Amino acid sequence: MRKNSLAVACLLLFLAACTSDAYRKLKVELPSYSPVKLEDFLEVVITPFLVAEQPQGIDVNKEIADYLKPELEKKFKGRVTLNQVSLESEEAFKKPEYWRALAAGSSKSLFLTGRASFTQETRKAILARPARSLQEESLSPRSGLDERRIFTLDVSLYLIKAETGEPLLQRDFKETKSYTNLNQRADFAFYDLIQRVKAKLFRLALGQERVQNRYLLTR
Amino acid sequence: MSRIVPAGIAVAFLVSLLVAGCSFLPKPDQVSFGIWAAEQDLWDEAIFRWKRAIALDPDSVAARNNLAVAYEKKGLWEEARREYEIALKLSPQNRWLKANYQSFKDNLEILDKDKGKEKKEAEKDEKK
Repeated sequence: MRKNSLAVACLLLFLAACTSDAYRKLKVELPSYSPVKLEDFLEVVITPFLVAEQPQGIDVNKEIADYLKPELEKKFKGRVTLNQVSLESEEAFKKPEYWRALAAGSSKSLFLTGRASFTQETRKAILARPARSLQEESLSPRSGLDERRIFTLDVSLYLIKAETGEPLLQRDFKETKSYTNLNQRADFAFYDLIQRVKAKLFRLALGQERVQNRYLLTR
Repeated sequence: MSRIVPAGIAVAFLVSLLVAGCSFLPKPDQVSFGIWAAEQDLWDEAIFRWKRAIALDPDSVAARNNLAVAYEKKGLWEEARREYEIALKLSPQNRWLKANYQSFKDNLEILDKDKGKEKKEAEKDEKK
């Protein structure tokens, strides 16, 4: 008995001595990859978007400009200006000469433009599974069908280099949010959705850092 | 006296066990020093240490994985990819390495997408 306990103690001592973690978990702030180097530009020009659809009483172009201009000014060291030229068709995005002409010699400008559509609809929503028992019913107070107000913001965004007229970045963002309030105001919903678009756009365009876990191996 | 001798032998035996066990511990080498530097946010120092570790042992999975993480931190995507891929060849089953590489790939989907576009555009230009 005494011999056994001694052997166990020896084994434990040996294991304790050689045990160590094979890794270290670290939270690392990693930069996002961005094809756009904003620091290379002196000016960002927000050009009106080609609006395919918008609810009555909302001017999507004005809302986009009103929201993005101050947000960009917070992050971008250069100037942020608005251009009131109206785009006629999507073809313009693929015409470098159009953007070069619009830049009128200011080669250090970057155009922010695109196509946008903001829609609203009311949908029926299934709230929960039908209760199978009395107990389940008491746990899920609401079940069956209900109505939701759904807003969708669909943005196809272009960042076009004035010098070449070529798009540096083109991304499609589709953001949807549903509201239980059937009288939800479209301008408030727009604000909710444009915030999400901004977060994604800035991560792409500014290469903003994000915290992620990584494992460093010790052996 | 007769009791002290066996007790001394037992203590000596236990100490030798401890020492033997400790020999399996990673020594304060370049890899661990690099980890310490990374934890202090001294990523350039960490890169230097892990590069040295690789120079001493090119098959060091730990050094390659850690160097890849440091390259990610620096935004050196291609270098990070290269180190991850070499490390994965050396140790394809390492779960921590695989987890790192998966996160890296998720982040890099955008980069690949853009590179694909650039390639297509270049091909178009060539055809023209």
